[in-house]
Amino acid sequence: MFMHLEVYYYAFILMAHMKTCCGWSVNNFLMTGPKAYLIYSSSVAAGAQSGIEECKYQFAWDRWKCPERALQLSTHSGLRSANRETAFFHAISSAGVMYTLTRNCSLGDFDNCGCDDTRNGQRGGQGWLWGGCSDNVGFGEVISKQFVDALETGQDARAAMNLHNNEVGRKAVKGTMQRTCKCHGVSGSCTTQTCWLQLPEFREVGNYLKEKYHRAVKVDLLRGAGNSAASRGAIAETFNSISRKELVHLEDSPDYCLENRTLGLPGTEGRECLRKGKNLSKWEKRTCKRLCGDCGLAVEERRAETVSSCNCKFHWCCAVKCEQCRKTVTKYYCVKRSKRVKNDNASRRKSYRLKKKH
Amino acid sequence: MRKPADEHHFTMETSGMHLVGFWLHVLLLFQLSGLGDSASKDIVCEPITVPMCKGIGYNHTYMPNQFNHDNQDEVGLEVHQFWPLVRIHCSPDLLFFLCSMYTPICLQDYKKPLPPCRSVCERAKRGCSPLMIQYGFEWPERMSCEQLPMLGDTDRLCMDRNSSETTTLSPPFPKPTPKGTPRHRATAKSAPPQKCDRECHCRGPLVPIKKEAHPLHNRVNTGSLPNCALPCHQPYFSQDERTFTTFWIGLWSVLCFVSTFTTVATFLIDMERFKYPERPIIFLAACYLFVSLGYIVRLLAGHERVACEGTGDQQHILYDTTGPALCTLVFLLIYFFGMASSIWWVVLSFTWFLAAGMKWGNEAIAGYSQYFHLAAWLVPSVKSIAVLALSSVDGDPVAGICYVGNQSLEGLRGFVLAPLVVYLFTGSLFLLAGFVSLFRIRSVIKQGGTKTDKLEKLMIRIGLFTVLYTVPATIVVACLVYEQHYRPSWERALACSCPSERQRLGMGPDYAVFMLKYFMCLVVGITSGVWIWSGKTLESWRRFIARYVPCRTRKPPVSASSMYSEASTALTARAGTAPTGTYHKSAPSSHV
Repeated sequence: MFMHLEVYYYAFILMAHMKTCCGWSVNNFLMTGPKAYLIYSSSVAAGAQSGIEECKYQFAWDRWKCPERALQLSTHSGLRSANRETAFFHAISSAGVMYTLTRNCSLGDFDNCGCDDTRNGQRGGQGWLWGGCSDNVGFGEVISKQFVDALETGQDARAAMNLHNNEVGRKAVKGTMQRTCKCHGVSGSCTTQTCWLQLPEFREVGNYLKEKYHRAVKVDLLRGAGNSAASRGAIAETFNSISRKELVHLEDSPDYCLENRTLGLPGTEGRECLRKGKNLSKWEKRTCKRLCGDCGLAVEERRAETVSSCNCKFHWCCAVKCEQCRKTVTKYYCVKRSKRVKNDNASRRKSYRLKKKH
Repeated sequence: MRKPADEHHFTMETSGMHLVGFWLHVLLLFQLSGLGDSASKDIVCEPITVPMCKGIGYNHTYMPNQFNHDNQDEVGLEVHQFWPLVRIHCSPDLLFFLCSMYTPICLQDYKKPLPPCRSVCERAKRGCSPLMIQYGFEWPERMSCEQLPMLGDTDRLCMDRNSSETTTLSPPFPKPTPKGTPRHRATAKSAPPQKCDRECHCRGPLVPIKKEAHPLHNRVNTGSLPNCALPCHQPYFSQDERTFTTFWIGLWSVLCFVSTFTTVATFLIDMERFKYPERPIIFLAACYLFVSLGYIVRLLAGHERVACEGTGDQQHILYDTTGPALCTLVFLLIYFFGMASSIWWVVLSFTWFLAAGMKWGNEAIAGYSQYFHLAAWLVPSVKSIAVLALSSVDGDPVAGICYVGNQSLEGLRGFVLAPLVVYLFTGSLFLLAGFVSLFRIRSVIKQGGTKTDKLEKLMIRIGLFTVLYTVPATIVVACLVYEQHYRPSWERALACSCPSERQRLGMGPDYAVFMLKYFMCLVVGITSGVWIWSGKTLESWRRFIARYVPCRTRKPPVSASSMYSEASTALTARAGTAPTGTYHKSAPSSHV
């Protein structure tokens, strides 16, 4: 009940705002806007949420760990960052919305869209045809663009940057789609195949964008660029020259080692980090150095006991029986170094000497 | 009170901030509503509805499966194509294997994949792949066994019935009651170890001949049981032993072919070099060339196509047949040329006796070459025609060749054992007589001078080669005696006892004896190549290649020929025998 009232409330606010600010046609908006908005809003929200969660996963072992408070705080305090991390966040959110809309379309959640069967029946390659239910990524792209890009109404460089990065996120979804096939033939032979395009796991989209994050392009614009017509032209020209597959940012990132309440940054003190263990990637193995060592902190080792399933065996027929094993797990955390104690001692000595002299 | 404050806050913000704030509020709103949970991709268990896969031991599966089937209706359409194969019971594991691939097991408390073990796949493939091949289908590539985990792998669990037996001493639940025919068959298989049926009847793996229209009806019996045939493969030998047999025969037959081919080729490019009494070695090698070819044909065509008849459960070894061309071809190559090689060995020992014992010259021996060829080729021809006329050709369940005497003791004794014994005995007599004479003639040769050493070496080499032949021949005869003596009891045990009892009492043929027999059948062909291992062979080939260069054609032949002729003349002259008046240098070339 409350949820629906809130939805209608914000819809009303949006409508009023559109009328007063941008001079949109009220009739045009009423014909399409509210209905489409209400139909797709749940998918848009779920998609954005999946983007946030993927962002947290991708940056779990980075100094910046995709905190939600930073985004909210920057919104409320009027301070908007335009750094590399902001670029990634916009891309992954846009990708999440598009991904969820496309998948829900294939699942039949919407009446006005279905599988992308434009290529069905055509010959795709050696011994296989297009068929089945290809994910309608075009539909997801259009709706996602309407919702996400509509939030950027400014004409400044920040707005251009966000629009560009939103597009990068959508292209990441399209670029990671994969072809899946099904065999047809007598007795399981693959005489012919039917293939369709399928969304990958969203993790693949996140991995793809993380790579782009590491190679993001910094755009240098003249200081003091305002909302004049000449500035807008320069901004448009600059962003059009950058590939739609590369993330862009305007500012350098702050020092995420330190706590910064103004920016909503918690710093790396108290963070858990990874040091040893099989199945760890290079990036993960260097977590302690990256979060603690390079930030001037020490690494503290703490032990904990966990209970987990082990020695699973299959019993005919059919059950899997596992044992419950206790295991001591070692975890590592960033803590302040003991040098400060020495510094405090030195400080005390100095004051004592001053007393003597006096 | 909240609303006015929010409204006031929004009116003061810029347009962008307003929208972003709205966006985040929407996110928070829907996050609280719990809509995020709908994004999970958990596996959903559903009851198995494919009729073929009901009752295989588990009841729930999930879709899509690894073949990208969206629902069980789609699965049923494809998996049902295997139903004829399941019905024929080519393997008791086939149904479970197919269903565990097409309708994978779904467990609520274990989310990792749980495929069938590689052993299940290999058992099903071993039983059913030969049958599929007969109908023109290969084992599907996407069901290859290599991609499945091994039983006992702790990282990747898999399903096999043996897993329960190895991990738990007592099963936690009673064995499932047999619901389908395949399970009933599996249960029936486990019954024999408990109670041993000692009644004599045509039981597996023997092949009962039930139809009166069958060509073998009332014509075959095994272990005194009428209308009971032996299976395609020797039932006493395991699959590993059968595979090794193929490898063993292939190894020696290829070596024999290479060795004898080299010998024959060397002879053809320099026929003057090999005179009597050593010339029969070349013909003996030629015979072994064709014998090895017979084995190679079997390797290329396969055990079943050469030595067996029928399909599926009714496949049996060939009995008393002259029909199949492949069988007849293999029989003729191995039997005809095998017997011819034995006769050539007798000829070799005889000519050696003439030369070493009776002091004949090579020209005198060569004068009778047409009689040697007549005996060596005519006698095996008569015997081969007799075997074919009597329809005594049959399949060998061990080697997969066609021969005579595999299913008939009379054929084995009359056409194989008796001739070999006669040849071995005759040749040995000649050898013995020759050696006795050689000791007496040795003193005379030594008085002659230095040039007699070469001739003496030649005599000793031929004698040594001839003696070396007797060892394999004797072993083959011994193996055949062993086989013909015990075969009736082996066949009777198949019909009148159960596998566990046969294994416990040690009934059945000795595998090593058969391997030894096949090796000895071919080893002479391999060792005959030693005869040409000398500098002369290199010289012969060099001369053969140099024939295209005119300036080299004359010197070596003249010197070699004159040297050998001179030695021969010296031997005959100093031996004290009267020189033959008909001697001419051009005479040897006319004796082919």
